[in-house]
Amino acid sequence: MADLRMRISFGGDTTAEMREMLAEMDDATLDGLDVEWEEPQSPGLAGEPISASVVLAGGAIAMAALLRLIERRMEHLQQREMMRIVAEGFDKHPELGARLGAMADAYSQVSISYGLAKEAWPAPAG
Amino acid sequence: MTAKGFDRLDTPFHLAGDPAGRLALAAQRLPGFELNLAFTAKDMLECAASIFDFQASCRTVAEMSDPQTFGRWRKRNPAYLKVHDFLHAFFRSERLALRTVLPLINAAFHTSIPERALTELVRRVWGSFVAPGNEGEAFLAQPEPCRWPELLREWLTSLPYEVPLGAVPDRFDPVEAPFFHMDPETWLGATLDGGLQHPFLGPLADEWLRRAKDVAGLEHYLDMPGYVANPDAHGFAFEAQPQLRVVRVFFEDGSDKDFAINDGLVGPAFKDSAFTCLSASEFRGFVLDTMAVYGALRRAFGVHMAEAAQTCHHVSCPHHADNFCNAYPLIPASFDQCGFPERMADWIATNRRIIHG
Repeated sequence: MADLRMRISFGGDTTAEMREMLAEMDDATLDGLDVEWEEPQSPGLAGEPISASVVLAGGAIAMAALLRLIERRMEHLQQREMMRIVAEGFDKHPELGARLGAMADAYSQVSISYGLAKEAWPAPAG
Repeated sequence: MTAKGFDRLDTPFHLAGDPAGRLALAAQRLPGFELNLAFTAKDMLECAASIFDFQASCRTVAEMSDPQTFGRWRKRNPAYLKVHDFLHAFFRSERLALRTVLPLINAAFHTSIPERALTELVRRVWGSFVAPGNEGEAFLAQPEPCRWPELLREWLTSLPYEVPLGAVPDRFDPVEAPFFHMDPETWLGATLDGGLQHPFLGPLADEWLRRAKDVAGLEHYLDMPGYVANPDAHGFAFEAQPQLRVVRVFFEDGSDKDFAINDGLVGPAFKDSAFTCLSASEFRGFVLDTMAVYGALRRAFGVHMAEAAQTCHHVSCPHHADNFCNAYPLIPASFDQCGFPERMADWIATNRRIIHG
């Protein structure tokens, strides 16, 4: 059941970072996630698809797997852009909410807020 | 080509349909339909490119028409799929959409109004393979690759064209064109707005069509790339890109202008593999070409240029006052040894040859 939702943005690095992260996820876990790539608002743009942010929705098991991937990535990653996460529904899963909070405490380049993931911030112009 | 010509790719159309088989195309959104798609020719091209990428990522033939494999691919990769998604809903079959969307889009671009041709062809796919009573299910039970390109080319000969099939209008205006069939063989070397070569029907298309007669798989390479097994076809297709580059220059007054750039500007340098293989002298030539053309263009259009921009001190040179060489880095001891005039003349001649064939 897709009761958890996260909107993730790495700014201009979103496409590359999220592609790598989702490539590491096994097929069975991926099947439990809804993934919506959000294009930057740049009318007329043609070429390699790029994304400003990604909205991921899924149940607790799939979302826990995603958090594990993010944590692992944070341990090894020196990303150029701030990782911004807007989390929705985590109040119903205190354990996962605590892991999110711990991640923000541990990594200065991670920013987490809570609200409606889909409407958290306007898609930036590309 | 003018900006107006390129903007044709962004002209919005509205496709409306419902799973019962009704399908309509209009300039405005049509009420009373379950399915609605606002789309442009560019959306069609981007969707084709995304499906092309998906097929290239598949490890087996079966994966290329497998909705589950595709579903995972589109989760892991951003892609332009609004045309595919409409067909999925209209056909009530993602598998059928996956199997047909790429050859459908390619076939539609064999006409002067690809959005309209797409609508006509999609309607025929629905009538032949989705509508009950036509034994479409038996056909679709066959594994891919099916002969979609041949079927669609056949259907292309029977669309309701405004110019009789085989006839050619006096001139081609991408914005005002009537609906007519564009056979690639007939339209090779076509020009737009009376001058610039058509972006896709130039010398490379000519070579592609010639080699497709001998190289197995090349004829339908763009329709079903993942199904082509012949490495020679893949090799040629890889070498053939990119065919066209477009630069849009934004002016201070808010206007902008498009320039189509063929290989004359920087040669093969934008292709990574070729770039890394350039010799020292070829690389030097690339830099000098680039700086020469960059300086000339910014002088001509007055953009990105300070008044004092000038590299050369030879005030007696006949080209000094014009200052088109403002970014050219190689200043000789005497101006009559300067390579800039000859380099620009070569570049202009090369591009003129490309434009006029």
